[in-house]
Amino acid sequence: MSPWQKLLETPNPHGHLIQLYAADEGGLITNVTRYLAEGLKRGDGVLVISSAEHCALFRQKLRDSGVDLEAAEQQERWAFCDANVLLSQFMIGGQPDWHRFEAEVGAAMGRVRRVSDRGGLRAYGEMVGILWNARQFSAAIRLEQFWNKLLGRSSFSLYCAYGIDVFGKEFQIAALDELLCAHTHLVPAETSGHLESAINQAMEEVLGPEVHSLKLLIKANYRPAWAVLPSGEAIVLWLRNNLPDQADKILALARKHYVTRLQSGLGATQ
Amino acid sequence: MATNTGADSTLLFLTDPQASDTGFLAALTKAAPHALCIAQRREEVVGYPAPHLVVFDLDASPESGFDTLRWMRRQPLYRQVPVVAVTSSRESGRIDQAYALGVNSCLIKPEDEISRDAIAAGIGAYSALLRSGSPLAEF
Repeated sequence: MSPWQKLLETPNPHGHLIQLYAADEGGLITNVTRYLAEGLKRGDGVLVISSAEHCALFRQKLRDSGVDLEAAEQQERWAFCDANVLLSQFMIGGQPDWHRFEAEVGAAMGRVRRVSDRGGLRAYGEMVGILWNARQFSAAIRLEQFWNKLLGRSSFSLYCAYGIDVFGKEFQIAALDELLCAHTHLVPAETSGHLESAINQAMEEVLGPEVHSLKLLIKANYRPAWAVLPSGEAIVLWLRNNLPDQADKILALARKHYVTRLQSGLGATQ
Repeated sequence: MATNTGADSTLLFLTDPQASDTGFLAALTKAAPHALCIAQRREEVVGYPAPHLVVFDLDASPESGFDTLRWMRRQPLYRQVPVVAVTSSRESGRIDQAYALGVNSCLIKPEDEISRDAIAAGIGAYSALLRSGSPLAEF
């Protein structure tokens, strides 16, 4: 099991995970399902705040993996809230309101926590992603701060999802610094290392032999305020921030290599 | 006055030479022998061609370094120059301050010589890449 898979199954008690996903949502569904399944197996309460479509996909995959979802629902350890509906309960003037957020989200959390074993709780949320996709960036950051306030007060883990393409121009520090500071871990879309392999291949093709010295520099990059980053995503951020003139070309090539690797099922070391 | 190790300076090392980590300075000099320029204050930087890369030593005279960095980010000639901060300390305060002033990346100086030389070689390679591929080459 990779360290990231282990993190999804046993997140830190106040862990605040973030995952980015592009048009292909397969990685998101797989990772979130792993996170929820382990929580249900351990007797945790599980709160899913998502679109109805995503919830249906989670439910199907949970059943396929042998989780007794009906039993969890009967015990009221599984709760679903429509992300758009819940968001509308505490937004005022385009910004989330703390008191309403605390009342609405706190109540939803409390209901599942009360019936869980040892009070364990895992939450998955897409409200922040909805705000971000609507370009309400300050509202999304504010909502993340609200979540962090709740995480500071009680023991639970939170997993957020944003529709941001790692290969796209939006995935760079100027746009995402506050987002990365608000979380403890950025979860990779797929955990087999294909992204890092694809980027390494593209970097060698574009930059030539100098790339070997550069990789050490990239790995040594240190930003204590940020979430823990997977290697592939850390390299992308470094390229966008430190080699902006070459980043577009490298990442366009990397995207092609990544898709090829995923489709052919190549090992990550190849 | 800044110390210039070669005619074609592309790499500016912002540090107090008296307080600097001599091992790291030696490694950087070896990695970029004809390209290294050392300066402590903004007055020493003025008059030299804009570098392709700045390495900012957070450990040696950080306040004058922050002052120089703040000044550089306001100058059209230096605004887009990448800055790599180096430090021995993982303490977040100075590192966060460096990022807030526009540093592009930050590295922890390795303690062992082999890793330190490898990091310096990486900085040298990065500097060479910027010089060969960047529009700043015209300066």
